[in-house]
Amino acid sequence: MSRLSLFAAALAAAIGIAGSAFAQSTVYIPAVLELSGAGAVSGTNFRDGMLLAIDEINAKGGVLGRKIETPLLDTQSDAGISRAQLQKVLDNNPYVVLGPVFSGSVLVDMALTQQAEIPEIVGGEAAAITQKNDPYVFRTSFGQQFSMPKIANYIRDGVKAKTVAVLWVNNDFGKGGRDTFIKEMAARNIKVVADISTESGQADFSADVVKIKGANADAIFVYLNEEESARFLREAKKQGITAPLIGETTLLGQKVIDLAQGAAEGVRGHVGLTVDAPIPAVQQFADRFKKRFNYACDHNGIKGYTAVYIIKHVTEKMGKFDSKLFAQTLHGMTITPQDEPGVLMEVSFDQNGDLDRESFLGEVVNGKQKIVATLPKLGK
Amino acid sequence: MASLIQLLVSGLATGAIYALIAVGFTLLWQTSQTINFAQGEFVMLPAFFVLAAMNFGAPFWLAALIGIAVSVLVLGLLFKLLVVDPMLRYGVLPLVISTISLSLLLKESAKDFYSSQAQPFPALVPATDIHVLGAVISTQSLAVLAVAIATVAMLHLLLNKTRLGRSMQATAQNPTLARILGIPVQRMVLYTFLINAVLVAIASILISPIYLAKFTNGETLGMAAFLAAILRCAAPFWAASS
Repeated sequence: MSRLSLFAAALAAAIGIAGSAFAQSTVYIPAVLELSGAGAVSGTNFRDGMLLAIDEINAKGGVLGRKIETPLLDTQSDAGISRAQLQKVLDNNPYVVLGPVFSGSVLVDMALTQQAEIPEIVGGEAAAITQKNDPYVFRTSFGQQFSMPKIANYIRDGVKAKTVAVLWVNNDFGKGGRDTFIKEMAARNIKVVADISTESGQADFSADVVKIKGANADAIFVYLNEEESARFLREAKKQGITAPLIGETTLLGQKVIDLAQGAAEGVRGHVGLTVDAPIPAVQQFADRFKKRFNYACDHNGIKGYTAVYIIKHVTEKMGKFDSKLFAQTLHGMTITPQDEPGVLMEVSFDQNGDLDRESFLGEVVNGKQKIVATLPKLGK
Repeated sequence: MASLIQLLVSGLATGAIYALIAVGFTLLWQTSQTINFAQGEFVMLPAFFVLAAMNFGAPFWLAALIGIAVSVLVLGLLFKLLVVDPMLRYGVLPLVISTISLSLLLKESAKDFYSSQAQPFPALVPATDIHVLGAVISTQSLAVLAVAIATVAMLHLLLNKTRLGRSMQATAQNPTLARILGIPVQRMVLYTFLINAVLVAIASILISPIYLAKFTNGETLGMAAFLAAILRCAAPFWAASS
């Protein structure tokens, strides 16, 4: 063998050993998120919450001595692209996958992660996500089947409405929420007088607002994504809608409040996760987030942050990196802030991957979300 | 009746903005055989010029003027000199493909250099209401309609009542004859590009409070403008502006 060949072989071996050593010192947890498109607000908040957690954990030595390595892949808020990005990361044997946030993308990706037996911690809220007997999907926020009963109770007991108009976005998130909401309204004898679907990315809401005004409902339930919520609120204010506008977390999110520029004032609703929660750990997280990223995060930021700490806690509990065992361990688990401060609030997972946690009722006052009541876990 | 009035005013306001974009699109086609598939992005971009100026501390009115001026320079002069002039000699199709590439470049540049998220954009006037026959009409819609109509009216006056405008019409109708008559044809063509840049900048300032300023706005706006322009495609631009 020539000297050149020997040198090349030695160099290749050295690179291989170094690569292997590097791989052993890191754990591969990729994130497939909406970093552009209609879901950019959700995805970038989730990403930044996640990055904050990763930096904190890596600064303290990582998980079981291994630093977290998280490449970011953009789904462009498109389910087809999300699937392709997920396939790319599955080819590299991830430990756990983070995201997506959009329910439509989650529903498409779930089949792949289930087949690969890789746990996926998602931001999606559509009820259907945890109704497919997939043991590898876990939520970071309430499913609609848990949040809608809470909103329905508030509309009945708090707002005391007898009629309601519902405006929803025509994607998996919106359809699932609308279906669950209508069912909850029927169960409480509250009549739905207008049932209006809108498109993802829709910019002009003037016709929809006119329809809502004509319905003369006692309350209006708005279930849109972030940017569309802001556009709707601005149009509603322009056309002088006076009926209470009720939402679920998104409608009262800080990004929507900022985009709506005053039009969100007085909006009320159920808030599953919020940086305005009267919980010191959450408020400290909010301060660290704002200091790092220079903006106030919404509930998606908390989702991303807590997702990483859930992975850390479960892995340390197991004492090893085992994707299949991770999924088995997390089912039925309760994690308290005493066990793992990074989860911020006590959270319990059921056998479907749904979570149970305290939640809140909120209202937008002077450009900020104000929490008016805390609701206990459903399981208590 | 109240709903009809509300829908009419709101629809006319939004439609007037689309018409501004379509007039610019038609202007370019009629005068220079330029089919600009980046017209939607031309409307998207000035909003970011305005926001950038506001980030540097300019009040809205000044930022709007800066946005219009930068649009004239970038989307008027530079577009003509760097994209249209080099490509037009090879025919319409290469130019069309160039404008498609330009639209992707502008869209991705806005996303990378500013933000992928929607940005709030200030409205021309504060949000107050007027009550007419039971209908609630927003002063913002009326302001948008007024500005759009005024812009088109001024363009109509320019094209039909001034020597410059008649020279531009002559250039569009028959460039060879116009040149023989001593009309500086290339300068007239340049003026249509500059006028289009002003139109898209005004459209951007009017539409962004409704759409929010976002890098993807060009897709919807471009389609609306294209459809509006096709519906008027048989009419010359001076008719399209009336």
